[in-house]
Amino acid sequence: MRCRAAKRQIELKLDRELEPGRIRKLDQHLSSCPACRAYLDEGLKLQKLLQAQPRAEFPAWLHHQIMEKTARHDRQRKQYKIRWRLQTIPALLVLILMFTVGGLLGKAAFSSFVPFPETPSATPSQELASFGEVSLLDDPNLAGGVHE
Amino acid sequence: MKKEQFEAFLKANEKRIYHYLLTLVANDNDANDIVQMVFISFYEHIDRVEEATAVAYLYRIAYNKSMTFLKQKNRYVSLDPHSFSRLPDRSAPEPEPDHSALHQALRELPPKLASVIHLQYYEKLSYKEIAKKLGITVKAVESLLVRAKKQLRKKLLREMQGKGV
Repeated sequence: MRCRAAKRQIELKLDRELEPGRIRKLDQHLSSCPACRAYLDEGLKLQKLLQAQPRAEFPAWLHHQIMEKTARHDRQRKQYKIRWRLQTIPALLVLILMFTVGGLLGKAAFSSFVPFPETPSATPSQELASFGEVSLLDDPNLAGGVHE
Repeated sequence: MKKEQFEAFLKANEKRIYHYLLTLVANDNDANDIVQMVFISFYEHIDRVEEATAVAYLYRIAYNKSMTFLKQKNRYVSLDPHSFSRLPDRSAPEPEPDHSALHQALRELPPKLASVIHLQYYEKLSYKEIAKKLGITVKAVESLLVRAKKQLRKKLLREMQGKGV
């Protein structure tokens, strides 16, 4: 067994996770490898240090404080949602109202404006006469034609 | 996860996170503040958290919050040294030379490595149980523990050898 593999197995052995079949092979390697034995000793010291950590008591009031804060968080989110809806719905209504009123006013304005007459009421010469002008075509004497 | 599951989750994990934070900040008052920040932050994003990886996520939040807290605390003290120099420092922990070195070494571990060490030595869980808690494979737990212990060996045992232990 190589030392690299042995070191990995030493860690598993210290954590009691090494398969029983491999423990014997590891022990055989350790009996002939001082470097890996030193590694095992270091591992034992580290393990002792980690296991000797003091266990602190969790204050019971902290649990209630955290639950209170989460309840407050939910209340604040609810209030925010209500506030958002109260502001958004009137704004949307105003927009809809503006478009509706604007559309109605625009329609009324366009319908009263008539750019061209619908049917021609007089001949072009009669129209010109109404403006005080007489056409050459209206007076047979002036036109120079033969009228039969 | 659902909001209704939060209280049960809090009850199951508050002690382990509190102890983890104590190893990072070595101060009861700071750990009390940070543990609240951690669980509130978790609650705010609970809808996006998967149950399988919730504990790992919690450890990550705990690590990030404590590092931010320590940075701000150091910054605050360094800006105003004179006003606070006369005040008794009640937040200072009792001197525990053995554990202070351990806490320092654990503080320097990335959250992923620290969480497996914590679950193994504080919770005394098996590899299989740790894998289930963190939502990873047993092989991954093995690798993480090997890496974590390698780092701890370097830092702690060097110091112990220096002291002649």
